[in-house]
Amino acid sequence: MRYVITIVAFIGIALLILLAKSLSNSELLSSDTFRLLLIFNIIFVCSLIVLITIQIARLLQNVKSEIVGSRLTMRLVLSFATVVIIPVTIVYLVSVSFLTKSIESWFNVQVESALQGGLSLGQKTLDILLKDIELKSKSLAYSISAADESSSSAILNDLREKFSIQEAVIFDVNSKILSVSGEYQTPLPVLPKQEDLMRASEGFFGKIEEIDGKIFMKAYVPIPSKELLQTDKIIQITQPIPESISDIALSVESVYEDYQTLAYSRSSLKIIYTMTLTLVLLLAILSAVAASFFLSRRISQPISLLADATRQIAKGKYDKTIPENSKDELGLLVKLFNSMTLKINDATNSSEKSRERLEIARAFLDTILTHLSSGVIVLDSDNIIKLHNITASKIIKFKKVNMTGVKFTNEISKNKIYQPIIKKLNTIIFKKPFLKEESFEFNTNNKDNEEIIRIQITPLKRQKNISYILVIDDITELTKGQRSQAWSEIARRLAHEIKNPLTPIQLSAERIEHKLKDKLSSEDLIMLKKSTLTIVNQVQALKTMVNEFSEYSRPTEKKIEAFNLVSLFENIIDLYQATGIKIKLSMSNKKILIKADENKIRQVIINLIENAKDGLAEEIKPEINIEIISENKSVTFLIEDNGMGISKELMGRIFEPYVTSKSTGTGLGLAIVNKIIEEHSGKIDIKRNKSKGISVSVRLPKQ
Amino acid sequence: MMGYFMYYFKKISNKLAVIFIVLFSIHAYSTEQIIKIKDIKLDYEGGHYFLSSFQSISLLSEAREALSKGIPFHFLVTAKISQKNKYGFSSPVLSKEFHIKLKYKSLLQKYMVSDMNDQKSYFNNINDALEKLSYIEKYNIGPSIDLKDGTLELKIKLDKKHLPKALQINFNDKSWDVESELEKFNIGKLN
Repeated sequence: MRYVITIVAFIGIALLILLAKSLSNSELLSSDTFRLLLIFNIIFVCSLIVLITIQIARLLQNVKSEIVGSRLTMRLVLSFATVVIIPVTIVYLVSVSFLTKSIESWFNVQVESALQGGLSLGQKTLDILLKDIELKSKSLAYSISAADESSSSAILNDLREKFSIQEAVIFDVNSKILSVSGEYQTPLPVLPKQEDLMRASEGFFGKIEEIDGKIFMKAYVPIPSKELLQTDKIIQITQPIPESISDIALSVESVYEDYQTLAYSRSSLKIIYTMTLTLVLLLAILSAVAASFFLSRRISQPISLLADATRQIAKGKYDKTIPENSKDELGLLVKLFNSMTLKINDATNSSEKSRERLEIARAFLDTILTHLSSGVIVLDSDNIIKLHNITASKIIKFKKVNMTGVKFTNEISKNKIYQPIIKKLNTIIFKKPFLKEESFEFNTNNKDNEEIIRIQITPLKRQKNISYILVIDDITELTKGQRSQAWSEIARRLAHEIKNPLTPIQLSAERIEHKLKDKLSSEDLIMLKKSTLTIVNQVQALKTMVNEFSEYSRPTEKKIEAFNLVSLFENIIDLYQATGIKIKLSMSNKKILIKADENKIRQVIINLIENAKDGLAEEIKPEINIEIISENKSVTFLIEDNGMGISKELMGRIFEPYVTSKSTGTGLGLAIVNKIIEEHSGKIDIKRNKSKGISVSVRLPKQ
Repeated sequence: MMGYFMYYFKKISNKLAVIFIVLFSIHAYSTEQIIKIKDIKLDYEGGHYFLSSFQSISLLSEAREALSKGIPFHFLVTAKISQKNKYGFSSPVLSKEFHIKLKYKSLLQKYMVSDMNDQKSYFNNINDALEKLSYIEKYNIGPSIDLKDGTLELKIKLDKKHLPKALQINFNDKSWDVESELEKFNIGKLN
């Protein structure tokens, strides 16, 4: 493109120079060349106009499309064009005016009058000289006419010499030379034209001719005849105008004609010069405007590239660099920009890598937190939840899965059971600087179930901010397990320590009765028997209790085999037909097979029905509803009663040994049931019914 | 400043209009024929061809005025003899160009006609001068050639190259398009 512009510029300049040269009337350039040059220049101008129009259209399109740098380019083009057009137009207008005035100044009345006067003077001089020749020729003709035929030649010579005539020739009417007299010995004189001779017959005919740059006068006069008063001879006088006069007259004529020619061409000259000037103006302006596009683009290109690159960087493309083409201030700016971009790119890459590492670490942490059995909550110093895992949501029972950004105490205060936690937090965290780890446990009764939650608070100091990591564990099952284990140990020891002396006590009591029954009075005997019976009964009761404890503490051996749970229920229910309690059994299938220890499961069912029966002791319409639900891999049976139920306080600890709502009993029934169910990998739940009674749900795996 | 521009703009506006008309108007080549060749004659004498012709020449007022200002008119006479070659195409075998000059001599106040032999004739009025220009009498156009079936072509036109430069360049002026058509005359085997 650069070469094209250079070549076009050279062509334009060459055309202009040639056009100007041709105007200076150079012999090298003909009018045809000038026309060609004019046409080429016009074509060149038209091409420039087309080129500029296209450029303007493109520029406007770019401005409309909001291409970066187009507005700057347009502003620069307008500035350049204005800077060029105004002075060039002024110069043009002044030049045209000056040219017009200059051409007009060539012509004025005084010069024309002077030239006209000079020419008239020359004409008058020639007229006078012609008149003089006329007189001389007529005198010569009369003299010859008056003389004899024989002396006419001598008279002709004498008078020619006397009148200083260059040549005198006598012709007859047929142009036949009769006599010749000349200043110089010349060959035959030029014969007169017939028409000249005819004109001379009227008395005189004179004419002035220019021959070889000299002016000659020719006079024709008829020589009168003596006899007939007729003219049969004509004398021709040839006389050159003196050189001094001739040269001046011809010079005046030449200047006059040149002036007239110039004056006649004046309008054409004005048009041509004005047209040439206009072409020069157009070429100058259009070339300048065309060049302004090139220059503007050249200037605005780095800025456009910078703006574009800045936009790209704003979009996040930090690898954008600009070619460094120039060494000026813009080049320096581009260089600095590239350097800045490179640094931003490096920093961004580094940041991106850090972010990726952070993401990986966060994902790792999320995975850990998600799969962690403990709940984790991170609080800031304003009690706002910054982070928590799903387990924490489950333990604390958040309403939403994601509680990040929520004020922790506000959220948990919605549930009354967490009031102790709020109190504790307020005490140990938010009311005093807390900088060491602390752990505490809460026992809550959530929906009739006891829950034991342990919270470990770890402060995390980061600069001036302190965050708190709350590790929350639901230790209900753990605690229950520990309790169960403790009870098992107690039961085992009790069984061991109590069971051994019971038999000797019973035997001793019976022996005492046996030894003393014959020795005591009837009254004392009655008292003895009564006391002995009491001892035996109590020992028996203790034995029963010890056996139960022993059974609770003893690891059981299961005899797993498949049996129909429905049949088992039906058999057990048959045993209670006589009790007067309405037992209703419903099931999804008539045959629901499970693999378990049938005797243990029977013990569970009987135990649960017994508990229900005990609760229905004071009920007018005692009812027990049993429902067996078979699922894909498990079976669930529900035993509901409408009895007195269990108090809310006992619900949380109902499966613990020695916890019972009954006045009689060891409180080991449900503990044993729970143990059997756990040994079968099942689950048991007890709920208080909304109206009356309780509902026990037992779920056992089929296999 | 603006008034100054407007003043000059008004002053040159007419000229500018003319310039733009000249620049952008398409030059319509004049088809008006002012020289009409009426008679052509080619004589063969003494081994040479002699051309004689009669033509009428009329000039527009613009040209007459230019002539009266002393601008000389050079009429270019182009005579060409051609014959068909063996391929049937016409090719020139003889060509001759000569000038006849018409000029007004201001000093003598006469129109001067200078013929091809530079013989000058002076006339008091332009019509007589044009009358003189109407005749070309036995002008030797060249030696004889082996001519079998020749054609004489004659064209007379005002040679604008001899006009003043300004008039030559002013190509939109039709006053100077003074020329005849190319007249063809079958001369057969003349010699």
